[in-house]
Amino acid sequence: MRRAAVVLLVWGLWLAVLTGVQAVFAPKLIQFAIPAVASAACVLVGLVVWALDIRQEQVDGPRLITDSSVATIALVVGVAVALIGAGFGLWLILIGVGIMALGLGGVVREQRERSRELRREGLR
Amino acid sequence: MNAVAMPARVASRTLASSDHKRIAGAACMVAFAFFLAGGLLALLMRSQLAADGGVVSQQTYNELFTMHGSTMVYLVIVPVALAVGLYFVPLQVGAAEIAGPRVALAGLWMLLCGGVSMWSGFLTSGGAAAASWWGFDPLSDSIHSPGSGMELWIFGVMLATLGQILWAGCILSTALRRRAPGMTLMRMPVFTWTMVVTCVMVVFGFPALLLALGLLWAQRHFGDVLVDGAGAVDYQALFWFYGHPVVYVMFFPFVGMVGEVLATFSSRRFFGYSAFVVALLAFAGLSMTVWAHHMYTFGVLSNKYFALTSTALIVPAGIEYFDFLATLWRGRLRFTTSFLFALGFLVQFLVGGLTGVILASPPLDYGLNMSYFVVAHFHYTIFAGSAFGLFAGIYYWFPKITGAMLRERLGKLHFVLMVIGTNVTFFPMFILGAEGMTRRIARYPASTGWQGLNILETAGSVVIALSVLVFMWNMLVSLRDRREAGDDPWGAQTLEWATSSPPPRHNFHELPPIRSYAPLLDLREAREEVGV
Repeated sequence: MRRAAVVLLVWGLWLAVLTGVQAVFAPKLIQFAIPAVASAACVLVGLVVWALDIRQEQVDGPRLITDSSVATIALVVGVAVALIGAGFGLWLILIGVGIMALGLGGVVREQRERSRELRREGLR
Repeated sequence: MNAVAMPARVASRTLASSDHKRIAGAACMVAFAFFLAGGLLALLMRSQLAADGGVVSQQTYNELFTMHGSTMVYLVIVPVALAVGLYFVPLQVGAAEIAGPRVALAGLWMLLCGGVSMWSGFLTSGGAAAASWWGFDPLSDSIHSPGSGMELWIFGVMLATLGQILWAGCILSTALRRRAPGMTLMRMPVFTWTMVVTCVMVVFGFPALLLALGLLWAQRHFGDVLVDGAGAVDYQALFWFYGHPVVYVMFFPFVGMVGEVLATFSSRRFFGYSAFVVALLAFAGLSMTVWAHHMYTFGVLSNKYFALTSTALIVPAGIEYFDFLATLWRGRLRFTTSFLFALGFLVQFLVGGLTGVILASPPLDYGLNMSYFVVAHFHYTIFAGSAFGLFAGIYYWFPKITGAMLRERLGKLHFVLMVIGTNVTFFPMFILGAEGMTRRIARYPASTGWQGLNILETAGSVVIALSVLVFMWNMLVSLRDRREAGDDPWGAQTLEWATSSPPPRHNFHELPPIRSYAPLLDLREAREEVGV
């Protein structure tokens, strides 16, 4: 499975080459910087995936996870309200953060439930 | 179960499910609702132009084209492209589920919240955003676009884009790290490969939009962020680093769908698989380096470099077209609705692609920039191309998703109406653009003589609307009076057809051996060899 990272590494390097070709055309800093950052990020993620693939076994089967997650919805709605609050005032940001906290609590609860379930099944 | 609990349970199963198939289904429904809303705005714009500017004011017209473009790009085509990947990539690589199911669910709700935020601008006193789908500074700053509509647009686009990045991460991770035993990279189906390159572009290109919008918001509130001419150029550079790759995000997945459809309905193995994969990776890289061809007329970036990369796109595109045609060559063709839409994609996208070559040339672009020629070009790529590819995919995969077949006769009527409507609507725009008709004007002087073609285009848009109604009727009839599809009604080639229709919660009860990118075709050929 280690070849998975190759896709990201090859593509990131290809983008870096195309970015480098700009040097011939006397580019402005911004036109050079944006794709350079993107290609560097891609190579970096590729290296991280490579490291993960070396260290971890691949997960083949289904993992135990809740079939529905209302907590995730609360978390996202909280993020959305807080973000929109940035344009409308602190009161809305605070409401958003409150909903976000509720959602986050719910997600943590779901995760703990999952861990307990895994222990019960003897998978961990 | 009481009357309240039942709908609550259905809503919970549909909108809170962490099953990738349900998330994708809900995303498609949300996107389809926005498609109808965005289409309605398009009809209003066409009515305005047909009625010689007598329906809405210039300000309302500005809001209409801004929200039409924003809806179609941010809330319809990109989400649908990714949602189809969300549904089928795990199935095609033999995975039991998507990587990061909760993250995928979060993506759905970000899309929903983003769409509601953008559209709620219509409820504000100043109206919805009116600075076009790219929201250029200084047109979009607090002086030229005051009011909450623009703010809601910024946050809405940010949320929808963030959701798309999350989805892309899930799909990419599934394709690269959750494949079934035997499913090597070079055995992944064509559609999955197109999703891989699409998601790479989303993950590494779309954050530029978040940055641009963050800067725009800061400019609106604090000023002195995007200052003078340089600030506007920087905003555009960041925007188009998202804004051009997004065109390919709205293209590659549909190329993949068309590839699957052509191979299945010509009963042949996809031709030139390895070359196709290499061309895709090259194409995706190039498409991240052509973005400033939208800024030729600024004259401040290296036009020669961007003209070179934009023209170089012909090479990988040519390889893909060659692979498509060679797949059809000497195949046993079955002219199903899905196949017809795939052919429609091939022919019509070619028009969009070739006119793109014209716009890739700076001297020609100087004359055509901001004209209806550009509008025609991108509608031929996005609507005449990608939307046809999408319908090819819908008619192909609908039986897998629902277990029921769509009606072929209604499908063919849908196809014919859509071909007529599309070409009557968008082809005259090339002529009008070449004659100098500029975009985003609510009323043109009668002396221009453009009214006749504008009326024709409006008639075409009505035919498109009619074709969509036929499609909706087809879905309704097919779901109410079901004709069972079975596991593999088409004699297809890829893994998703090796499971039941619709697939179970964890996708497969058992997997066939995987020895190529077409494992079901391998099985059939092996059976034929031993005479079973």
